[in-house]
Amino acid sequence: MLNNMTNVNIKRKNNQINKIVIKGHTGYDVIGHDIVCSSISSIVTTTLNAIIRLNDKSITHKESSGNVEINILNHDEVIDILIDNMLDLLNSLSKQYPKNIKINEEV
Amino acid sequence: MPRLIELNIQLFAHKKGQGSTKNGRDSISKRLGAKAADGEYVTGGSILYRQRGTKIYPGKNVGIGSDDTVYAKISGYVKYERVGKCKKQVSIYEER
Repeated sequence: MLNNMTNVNIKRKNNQINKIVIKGHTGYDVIGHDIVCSSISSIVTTTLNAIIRLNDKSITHKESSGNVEINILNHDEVIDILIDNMLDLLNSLSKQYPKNIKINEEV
Repeated sequence: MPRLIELNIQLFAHKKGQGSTKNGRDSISKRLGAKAADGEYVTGGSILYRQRGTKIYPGKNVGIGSDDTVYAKISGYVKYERVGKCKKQVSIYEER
């Protein structure tokens, strides 16, 4: 029985998001069948690549199996919109699959 | 061109399958049990009961093989009988 879930941990500084850590396997199904995992991967990769194309100095990122860490170094309107859009989509996903993905705001 | 991230849509999926079980093996069934019913007419040498150990003991005109199979020594009618409180035996009688 797959029993863990993906946690999206959001850290804010001066009311701006400065770090996002997406950690853990969704536990929805195994590789090749996990639609929740593929949604998370697609949303995150699309956003990161868009930001990198805009200004690759604005973020740093690290990826490994079941783990993505994003540090936001510079903020501007477009980058903030892209980040907010990503989090909205992940939030929507967590409402549909509450057992497999959870959004956590770290104060 | 800045280093873009490669899309791996199974980045957050479990690697291995559901886990394998070490069970799933079984020996071929040996079709044990009664081969002749109570009151049935059998010929000499017929197998009456296949068993492991002596669930059924050999009674009159019945022999037991090395694998505890009980068999008829003569032709006649099969009779399953109780012996004492908890034992059973099978006998062959020439008349019913």
